[in-house]
Amino acid sequence: MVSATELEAIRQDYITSLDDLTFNSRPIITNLTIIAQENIQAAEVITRAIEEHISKCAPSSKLPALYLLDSICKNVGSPYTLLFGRNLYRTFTDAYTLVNDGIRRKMHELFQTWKQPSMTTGQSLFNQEPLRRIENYLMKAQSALMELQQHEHRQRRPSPGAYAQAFHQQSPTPPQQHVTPASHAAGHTYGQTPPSYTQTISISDATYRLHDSDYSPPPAGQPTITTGSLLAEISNLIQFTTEKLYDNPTDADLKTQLSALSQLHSILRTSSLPAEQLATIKSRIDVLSSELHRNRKRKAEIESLAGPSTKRVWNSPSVVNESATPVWTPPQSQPPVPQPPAYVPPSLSSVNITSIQPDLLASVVQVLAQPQFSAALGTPVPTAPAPTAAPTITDPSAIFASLKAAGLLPMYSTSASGSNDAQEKIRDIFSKLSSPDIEISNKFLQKSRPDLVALLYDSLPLQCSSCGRRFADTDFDRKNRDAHLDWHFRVNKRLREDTRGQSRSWYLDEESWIKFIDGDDSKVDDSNDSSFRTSGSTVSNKDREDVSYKCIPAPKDTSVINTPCPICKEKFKSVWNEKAEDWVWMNAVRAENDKIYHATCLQDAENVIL
Amino acid sequence: MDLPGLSSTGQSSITTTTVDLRPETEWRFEVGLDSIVTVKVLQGHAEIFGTELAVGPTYTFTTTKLSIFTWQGCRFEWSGDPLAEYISEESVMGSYANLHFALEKLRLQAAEKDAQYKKEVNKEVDIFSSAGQEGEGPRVLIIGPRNSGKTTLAKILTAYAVKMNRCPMVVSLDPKEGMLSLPGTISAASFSTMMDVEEEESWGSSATTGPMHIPPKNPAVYYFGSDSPTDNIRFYKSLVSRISLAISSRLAVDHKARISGCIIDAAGIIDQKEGYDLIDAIVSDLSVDVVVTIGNERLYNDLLKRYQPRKQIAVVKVQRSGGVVEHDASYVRSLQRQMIKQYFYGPPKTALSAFTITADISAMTVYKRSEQSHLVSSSALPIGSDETAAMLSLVTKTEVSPALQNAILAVLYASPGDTEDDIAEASVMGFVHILDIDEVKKKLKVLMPIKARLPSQVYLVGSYHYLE
Repeated sequence: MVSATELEAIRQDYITSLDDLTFNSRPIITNLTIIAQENIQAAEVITRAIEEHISKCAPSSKLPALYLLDSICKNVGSPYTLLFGRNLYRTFTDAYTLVNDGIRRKMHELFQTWKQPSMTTGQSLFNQEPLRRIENYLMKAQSALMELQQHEHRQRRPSPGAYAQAFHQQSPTPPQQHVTPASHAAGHTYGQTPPSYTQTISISDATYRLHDSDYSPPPAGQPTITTGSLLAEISNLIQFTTEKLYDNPTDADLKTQLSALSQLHSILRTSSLPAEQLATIKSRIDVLSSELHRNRKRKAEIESLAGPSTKRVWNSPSVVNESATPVWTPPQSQPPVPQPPAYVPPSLSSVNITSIQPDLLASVVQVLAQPQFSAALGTPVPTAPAPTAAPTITDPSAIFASLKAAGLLPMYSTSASGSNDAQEKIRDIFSKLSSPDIEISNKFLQKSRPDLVALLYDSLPLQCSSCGRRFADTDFDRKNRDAHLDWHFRVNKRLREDTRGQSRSWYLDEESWIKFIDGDDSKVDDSNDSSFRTSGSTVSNKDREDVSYKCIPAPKDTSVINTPCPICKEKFKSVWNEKAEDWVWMNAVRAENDKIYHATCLQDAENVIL
Repeated sequence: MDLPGLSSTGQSSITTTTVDLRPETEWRFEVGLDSIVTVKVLQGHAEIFGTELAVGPTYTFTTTKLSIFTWQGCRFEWSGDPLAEYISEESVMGSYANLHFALEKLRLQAAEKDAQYKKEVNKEVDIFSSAGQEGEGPRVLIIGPRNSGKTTLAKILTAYAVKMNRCPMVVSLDPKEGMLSLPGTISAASFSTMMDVEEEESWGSSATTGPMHIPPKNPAVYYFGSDSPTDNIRFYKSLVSRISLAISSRLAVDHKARISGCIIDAAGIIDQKEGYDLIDAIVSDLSVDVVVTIGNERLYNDLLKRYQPRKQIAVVKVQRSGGVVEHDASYVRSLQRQMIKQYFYGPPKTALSAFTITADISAMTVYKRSEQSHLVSSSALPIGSDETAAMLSLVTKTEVSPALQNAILAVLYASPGDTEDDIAEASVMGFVHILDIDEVKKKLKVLMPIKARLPSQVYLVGSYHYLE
């Protein structure tokens, strides 16, 4: 057997590597799968590490983590299938509640592959029991969503402005607002587009219609594999085009090409096309791809320069090579949706093309057919929000660059990662600061330097439409933006649900204030952590809210069961919790002294500092 | 452009005016007590004291004097009943922004130095032998006469720093302002998130028990008890030292804030000897390295002479904005009333609940600031009698008497058993308002911001009263 310390070491290493899985990357997933296979004796801790990661990571990272779970179960199998099966319902549904609609769709597709019996064994991947429960859950979630959307849809129709205001949440009358997850998804899109009310409406319509078609089972005989490979190819092209665009930001042709590709991508993702149309698209794409491949080499060279900064090196060198064993193969005969094309631009997941529109597709294909794509602007390429936000560049150096831009890393350090174009652009803007005349002096203060204002606006092109906060157009900051929008969504939801009214909190005492790290609305909120934070008597409001919903597993020890809350002297009641599948004590927390209090009692007590 | 009377369907009183603001101009407006002006940006970049407004949402303002500035031009519409509104072509924003960029450069250098230092530490080089040092961002002190726009400049510098993902420590040493708190306080808060332009004085709001649209700020607050530091220089200086201590402790552990530096808004006391003494005290307590003077040539030259020889302190001057308005006493009072009201009941957009409780008079331990003896504070005392001054405590216990009716009391993080020295430098937990005192029944009616028992803390009374 393995010793506890070894297990802990494996667990720690695995947790650290999981942190890298913030985007859908086949190499990382492959690597982590191999590690899971080689450390099968530690299956239990690895399973738990992944489950914890899924429950704690940012919503945007949940899907890659679920893909990892999927990869391990499909490639390694037992005991992982059994271990993950135990908590599968919770793992899956908890993640489902927190992600946006695009990811939910992916999760649906992923789940479909779990249900299908394997060709070799005739069994489904997991036990029937959790699968059945998830299926029920998804059906309920879906119908609830549909209902809400229809309701919203009807409500919204007569007064477009009302909706826009509801989303912005600046209206002085919050209680009547209905913002559902659907409008949340719309919010993601909204953040990247020049906001106007008509556009908002069209987006929400799109979301609505999308769901009509989305949940219907895929038609039999659909050439999914072809669509999948096309999608991957288009993704590559999008990335490539984006990078080119950084070189030539004013090139209208490239912009047109990019938006056409994005639309094509969306169409392919959300609808099924007849085979001959796919063939047409394929032939156009191939032409473009050949150019891509010529440039690949150059890019590979650049990446090899920038590469190793964030990569994790494992102790077992045999598995490091990404190309060693292509473990991540689509399960045979199943519509391989969870086969992630190593790169899916997240910004596109929120670009909702309504349903299949033959003329739109024709125009897109036509655009692609133009050698220089120059006629595109004249053709009625529709107004679907083209991704002004360029798709992500899954390149460590981009993250590095944005860290620098954000001032988290020094600007002028001599690292080898000067190759990325996004970084170049931001660096260009920031390099203005290095000009020697910028100094604390009366002479400089009197100068007219409106060009420097680019630092405040041009370097931060992405803006939140509810509060005006700006973000840089980098992979790193785009994630922050997404987290920030999620934060708005959560706050709005809480404001809607919270009818108790609020009061001014006491200020922090000196010691807590010194230790206090201010929360950031673009960082992941970990206040859902069930452990009660006692670090300060007036911890920021998000930690305090909804204390009465806190619960702990009901103790088994009889002496503890009969101990009342030390403050109000009332005993606790055990309640069956559906989600936890266990008896719990509601409104209860275990304080630092290991005594159990009513959460509300403890909060009141803290308010007066006993 | 909407024409008055034509666009309205029933409520003829609500008219909307659309304004096109040309680049680098600003729209200034004043909103009176209890009236409201709403603003909606239609396109372009519009900012209020550096904080950008989102395009689309409606912003609501009350009891305030603000200006909307644009770098690239913008269009917005407003409605409501302002006391005054006009477009100004002259703006000092250029030099204010340049000041920000110069500070940003210092922050970058600090970050670089810090990274260098970390590298050395990681390499386990003997750090004592190397020149490495943790990087520290600039600490800016803003000084000027009353009503010269010091606080406005502080807000702009803060907003721009936050926009560039910095996390500056903002220190308000002007008790009249009461940043994120009530008048009579000095406070410090680290700004990691946007300022809330709709909140009182557009700094933002301190934490409440519920969620907020803009994350709340968490200030460390100390109670001075009146508007002007000269009311009791000794007590004021002791509080400045105390808050400086808390700030340096925090910056020692908060890496991001340390790189971002401090933005310090001083009180507008400049022309007496006492004023320069105070500036000296602040500069040394908070290790200020950039001094910015606003709109006073003599002040600039005096400080230049004072600090230029010490090479590490830079002294610069900026113009005061033409938009700065003389705040007459009655306006200041109504603003302060508004701040007290919003502390308990919140701004118009987020109503807060306050609670009235009844308590025994004996349950409350109230202190007040000791009277400033002119003998003690002046140089009239013989040499060596400083000890006498040190013996006199800064606070004295006072009876709960009808004089406290309607008073605002600060709840201190100190218990009745603490020494007077401890009480004098305790930070503030919050404020309560004495609604009624019944001397016969020995009972008090107290307005509390939060639903809780009457804190068994020490209360400090200042010169502020409030009548609902």
